Amino acid sequence: MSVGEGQLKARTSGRTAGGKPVSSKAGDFESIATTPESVDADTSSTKATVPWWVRDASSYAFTCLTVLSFVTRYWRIWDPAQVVFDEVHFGKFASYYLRRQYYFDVHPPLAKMLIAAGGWLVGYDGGFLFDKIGLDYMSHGVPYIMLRGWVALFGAALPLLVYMIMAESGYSVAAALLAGLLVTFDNALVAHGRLIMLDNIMLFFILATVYAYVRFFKQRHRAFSAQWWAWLIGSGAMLGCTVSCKLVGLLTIPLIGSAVIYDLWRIIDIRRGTTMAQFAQHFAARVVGFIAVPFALYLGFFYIHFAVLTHTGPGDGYHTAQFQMQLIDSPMAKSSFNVHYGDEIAFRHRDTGVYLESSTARYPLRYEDKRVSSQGQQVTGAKKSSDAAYWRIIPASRQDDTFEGFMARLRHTDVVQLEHVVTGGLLRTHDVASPLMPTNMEFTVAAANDTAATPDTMWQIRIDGAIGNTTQLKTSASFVRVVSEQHGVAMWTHLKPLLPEWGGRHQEINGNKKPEEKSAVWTVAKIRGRVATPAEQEEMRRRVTPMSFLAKYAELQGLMLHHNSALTATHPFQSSPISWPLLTRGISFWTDNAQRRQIYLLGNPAGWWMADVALLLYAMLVPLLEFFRRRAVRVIDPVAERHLQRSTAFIVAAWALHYLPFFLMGRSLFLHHYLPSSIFAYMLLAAMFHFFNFDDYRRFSLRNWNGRARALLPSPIAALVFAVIAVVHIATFVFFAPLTYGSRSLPPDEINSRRWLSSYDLHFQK
Amino acid sequence: MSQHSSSDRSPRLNISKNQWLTLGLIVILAAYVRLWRLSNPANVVFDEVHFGKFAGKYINGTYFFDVHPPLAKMMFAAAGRLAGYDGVFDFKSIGLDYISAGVPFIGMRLLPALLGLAMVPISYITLAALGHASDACALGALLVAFENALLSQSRLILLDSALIFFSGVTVLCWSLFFTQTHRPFSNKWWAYLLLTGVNMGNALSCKWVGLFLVATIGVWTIKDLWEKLGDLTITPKQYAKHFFARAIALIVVPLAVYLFWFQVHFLVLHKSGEGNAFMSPEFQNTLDGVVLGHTPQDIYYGSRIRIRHAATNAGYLHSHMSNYETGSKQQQVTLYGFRDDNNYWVITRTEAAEQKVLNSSNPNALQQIKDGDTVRLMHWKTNRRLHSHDKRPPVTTNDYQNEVSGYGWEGFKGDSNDHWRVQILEGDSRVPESKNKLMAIHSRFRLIHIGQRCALFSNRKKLPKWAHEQVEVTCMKSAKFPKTMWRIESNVNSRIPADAPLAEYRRPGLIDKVLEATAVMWRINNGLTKSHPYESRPHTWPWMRRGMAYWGTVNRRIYLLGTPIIWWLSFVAIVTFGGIQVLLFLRDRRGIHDRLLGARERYAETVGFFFVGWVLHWLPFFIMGRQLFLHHYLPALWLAIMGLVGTLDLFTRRLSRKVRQAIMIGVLLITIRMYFQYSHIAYGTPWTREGCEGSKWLKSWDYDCMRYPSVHLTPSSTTVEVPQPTQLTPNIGGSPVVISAANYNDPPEAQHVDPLEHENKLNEPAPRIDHDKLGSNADNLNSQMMKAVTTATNADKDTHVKEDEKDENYVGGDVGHDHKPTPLNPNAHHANDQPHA
Repeated sequence: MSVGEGQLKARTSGRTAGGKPVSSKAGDFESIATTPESVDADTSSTKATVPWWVRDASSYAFTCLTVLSFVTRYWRIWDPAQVVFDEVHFGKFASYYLRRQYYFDVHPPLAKMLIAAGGWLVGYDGGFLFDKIGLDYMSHGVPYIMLRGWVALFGAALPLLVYMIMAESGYSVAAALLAGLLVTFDNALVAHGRLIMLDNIMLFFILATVYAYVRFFKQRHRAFSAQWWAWLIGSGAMLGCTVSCKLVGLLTIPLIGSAVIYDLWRIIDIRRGTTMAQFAQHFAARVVGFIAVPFALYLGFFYIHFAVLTHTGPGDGYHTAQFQMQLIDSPMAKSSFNVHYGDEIAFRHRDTGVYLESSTARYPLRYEDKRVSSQGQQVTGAKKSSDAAYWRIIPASRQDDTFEGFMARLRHTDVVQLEHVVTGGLLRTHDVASPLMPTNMEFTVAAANDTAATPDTMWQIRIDGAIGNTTQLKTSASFVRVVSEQHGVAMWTHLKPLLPEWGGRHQEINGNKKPEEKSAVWTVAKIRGRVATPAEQEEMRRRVTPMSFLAKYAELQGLMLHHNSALTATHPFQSSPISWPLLTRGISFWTDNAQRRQIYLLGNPAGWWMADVALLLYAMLVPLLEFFRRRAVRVIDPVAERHLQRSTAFIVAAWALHYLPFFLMGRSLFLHHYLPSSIFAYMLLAAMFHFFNFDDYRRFSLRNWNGRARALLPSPIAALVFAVIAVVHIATFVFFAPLTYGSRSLPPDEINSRRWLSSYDLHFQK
Repeated sequence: MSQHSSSDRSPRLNISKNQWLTLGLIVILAAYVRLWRLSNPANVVFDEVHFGKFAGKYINGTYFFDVHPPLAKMMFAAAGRLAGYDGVFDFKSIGLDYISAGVPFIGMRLLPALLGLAMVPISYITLAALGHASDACALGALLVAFENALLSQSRLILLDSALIFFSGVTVLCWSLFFTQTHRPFSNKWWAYLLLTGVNMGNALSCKWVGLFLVATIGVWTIKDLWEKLGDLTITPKQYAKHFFARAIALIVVPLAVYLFWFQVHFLVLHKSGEGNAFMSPEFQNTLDGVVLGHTPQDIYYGSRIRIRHAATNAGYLHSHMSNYETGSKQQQVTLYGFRDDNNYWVITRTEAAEQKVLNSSNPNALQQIKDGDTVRLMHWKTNRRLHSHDKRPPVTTNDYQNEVSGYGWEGFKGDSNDHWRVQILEGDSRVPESKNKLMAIHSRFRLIHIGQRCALFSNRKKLPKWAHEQVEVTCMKSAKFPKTMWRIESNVNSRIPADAPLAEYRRPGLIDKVLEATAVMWRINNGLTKSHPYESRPHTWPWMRRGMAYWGTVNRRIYLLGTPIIWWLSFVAIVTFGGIQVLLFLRDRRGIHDRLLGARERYAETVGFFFVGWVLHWLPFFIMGRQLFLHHYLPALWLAIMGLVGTLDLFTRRLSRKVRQAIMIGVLLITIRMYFQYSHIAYGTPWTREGCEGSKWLKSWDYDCMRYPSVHLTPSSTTVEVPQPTQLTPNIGGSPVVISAANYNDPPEAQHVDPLEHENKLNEPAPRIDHDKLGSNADNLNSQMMKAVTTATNADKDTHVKEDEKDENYVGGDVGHDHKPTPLNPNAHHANDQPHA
């Protein structure tokens, strides 16, 4: 079974790498299986004896895979002619790009821009907004077939990339073909691959990154050659694209990162004769390739994003006033104007959107927890604005002559009193605990003639981001804090809990002792009886300070991260990561009640479970081999073992790094987050097939994915195993295909026969 | 991997007479430090609320529920019992006076104090067993003695002291075990190994944080076994023996210990109590005073039954003479947690089936109810039938939820909306027919409304006041399993012969009970996500960003704060270890093999162990979602101190004796200086405002100095400055009620904002379950059950709401996306409210 060590040494020592002789110790056996040199050496001697169908097996396999892949993705791509699942979002975003309206999404822009680019190419004008699942495409004139066909290109490329990666990593044609077939006939990948969704685009870039990295790694004996650089930059660029598709793509970074660290660790070994200067070069090259290039691309896509989305749109509201002002036709710029003394204004809380309001109702004397109130007039936060929400701005000292009439503009740090227009009292806070929070101060309204309360009614206006006290308060565009002169507390409100019945279930308003609190920000929502004059609008437009790209980018990035982690709202089809590999439940994408058709996202159960078995096998095999090695017992060929610990381990790492981090995420998670890992699991299944069936590692080397192969199927048993896996997998795919394509209505008994697990909540079971 | 032969590096424990003498002196000194003024304050402090009360429960033997395993609490109970505590005082709120209540609190506090004191010699011997020099051992013991956080924590009735003690003993035994490496399988070797396992089990039985200790020992065992595996002089047979010896001692033994303490716990708490409501009826059945006895097994038409909601312990299907104020305004149907006659329903046939039977030859024959039968349920007291229709329920107003009501009147024949199909989902394996025939207790079934195709459901949502805040019952379409499952708990039918087979709840064995308790502990623990003013995240612990206020009164306070130099230096030692190892790793690869002053191997072996322990006692906290507190860091702190001392010892060995001792004495003196500086807040003794303010090295140490009198003020002005207790919130000082009954009729003065900011919350115990709300009268099971159920619901509300919504959301194909960000009120600055020009 094993290759004699002397034989190996003989084969290695003659070889040169990168022009330099490689000592047999440093060169190890690692490259035998994968480097072109060794293949060439072998090929020349055996070429003549190999039959043509074996010699060109790789090309046939690849061609065959291409055909199958396109057929599975494009079959009935026009059906259903309705909005399916997340097409709601991504179709919509594409439309916004074409309309050039600003939208906000938690994911980076590349994949969405690519979809939009497809739409632009076929002349789609973005007229349809994909508002609801099930809306008809035909009647709205959306070129959805072209859009889907464009996205399906990426989906169809996945099996081919998988084949290429496997072949490049030194697996046999059979193993590479098997991996390709598994990916081709996976129901989840097909379902995703033919709809207007992001995942396939991201998967494409993930696999492209891995492929480019494998090619790069194989150039290691020709470090700093042109090809080496090309694959280095190429894999960095693909990594940049991956990350720019979806935040989940971030998980590819640790994968490439760990591979790079492993590689550097190999290089730094003094026994290889590397000098520190050489090492520094290697290190710097990788910093450029794997950090600078991806990041530059990532930024570049955002640059295009902002360059395209120049008009106001549904995403405005997430941003700061300054950002919104940059957008053409921004309502903020249109309606923002200065606040003057004497104006009657309505304050609105930025985070929760309630208006500062008061009524004649009073605080109850005694709260439920037996604390006692001032029984003053209630000040609450109301969802809707009404007359009770207007407050007149009175300068702190009416005798001050610098205020000519009441037409002076309000500035940062001005001190004012706020008179409640309806009841005529002044907003006051004092040393009484608020109804719900014993640590915060009560807000109430003091009678205008209550001189004892006067110090409590002085409010300083602080505008966020103000430069000096010349910054003027504007409606909508200014974020303002209202801070008590006397007590230093800021006007503040919180969503939960609401006030009880006596407070009309409004939000409590109280004085927060941390005036710098992020949530203590208010805006002046409107001024009674006034709208912006054209002159004011013009002034506003003139005075917009342009924002640099980096400032815009930083703001958007912060919001994306914040909102992504805030995606904790539960969804009926969310699932926990533990259930993914077992495929205990799918996601209902689309239903048609009239025809009783449905699309249900589900992986290929047979394939996923076989892949799980492969994972288990690997998990048991490696410690076992380590154990024997530790006891100095050689059980398998060292080259085979090395292949298992490098190439196969890389696949396993890819699986683990795209899967395990989800356990730490608090946001709501879905089955399709497992798709990257499912591909790697399929690759592992093929790799294990390879491991158990090909023991002679000299024979299955491949030069390229379309190169020559000599070990197709070494034994009838291997052929049988291959056939069984492929047939079971494809048969299962076909069996579940009606749910994947939504192609036909299934009678209840057929539906139930597809409920392999009782947790598959398919529709139309009855 | 280096292949050491194991004997040449294993240290031997060798403590000379002089060392014992030194250790004795240190312990005496430490005893003074640790036990001084143990009686101060004579009030309930912080979590003594919980653990004092639990001790009382053990003494009374009434079942309670807590999120921690039982050992430490049982030790407190034993200490209380010895000291003469009778279990009457209920530790109801912080600040209650012990002396007037006659509670032997000093005896109870003596236990944690002594356990804390024991850490001093434990540290000494551990270091000695690892081969450290005698001066380093003494330093380690003294640092532990003068560590203020360990000190404060061990002076109160809190669990951590016991946890740290058992962790310390485990580490001690583990290091002693390694002194026997050269004599494997000798008696001492076995003894130390087994003792390690036993104490690991004890630590685990105090708090689940003990799992980190298990992980630490586990990692080190794997490392040790891995090294042995590479040692080819050890035969496979010997190796197997090594392997199984550890498996038994470190896996089987701790588990057995854990189970043992739970068994003791269940034996002691044999009476029913406020904890019942957390447990399943099977579990409750094992407690005295709970009568969930036998009931006839078979359910016949005409039986009067009581139906329990199976998934939650929220209670029984209930109705009463009181109508909904929403929807149909018909009679309310709820879940109610205690047994009364309003829980009785009579199960009958449908009108048509009834007629058929009446016309048949034997109209009076008993007929059993089978799976799939359509039945009606008549409320026994009010003669209303269980009814549902296309109206929304009062609280859960989703489209797919229907209201469930009691409808009809005496003589009313009913309508088709009273028809429910019985669908049996699970039977009892002992009684196989219970899968097909409806049986009390054994069968778990759903009730499907025929007309609306919805299932009787409850989600533990509380109804409004007009429905007496009982739990809502709805009928849900496309509902998922668990919360639509019901079981019949009692069955009355006068026509059933007396010798009919009876059904009874199974009595679970120890393992089942422990598993159930563990599951509930886990669930509630994860539900502790409410924010607490003194909670903190793990990354702030090592540098001690902020302490925790435990107790305060006019001019005294207890604030958990460590001795800064110990915290900071020990953290530096840990980080240094990590950094040096990475550096060594890289330099080895470059062919440079550093010797680290000849201490490299010992450094990796001893400080390495504490490093691994520290990491495993710290990092896992990052993934915990529940609220965390500074005191969770204390076990890691002890390991870090040991690491610090080990580092100091190894790297000063080549220095001259004088320099070495100067360094050690320097560290010690600074420590003692700081101990004195912060002793005021550790013991809760008076201080001056200036002293206090001068000690605030970090702004974030938020103990309030205004509380202490300034040395510059005259006594009279002091009293003005200090807020009067009546203006503070109830918990501060000794007065639990602000407004006394006497002046209740006078216009009460408005409550002032506490100038101490968080102070009024400070004395809030770390909220676990709101035990206060659980009801105090243990005999009054009625109201108590109900309260406990709702409280339990509140305690883990967050987790539940999530679960529930998942359950509730029926399978409707067209919802779905994860891309839409939570709309942070996109209109906040948007056009709606803008005056357009």
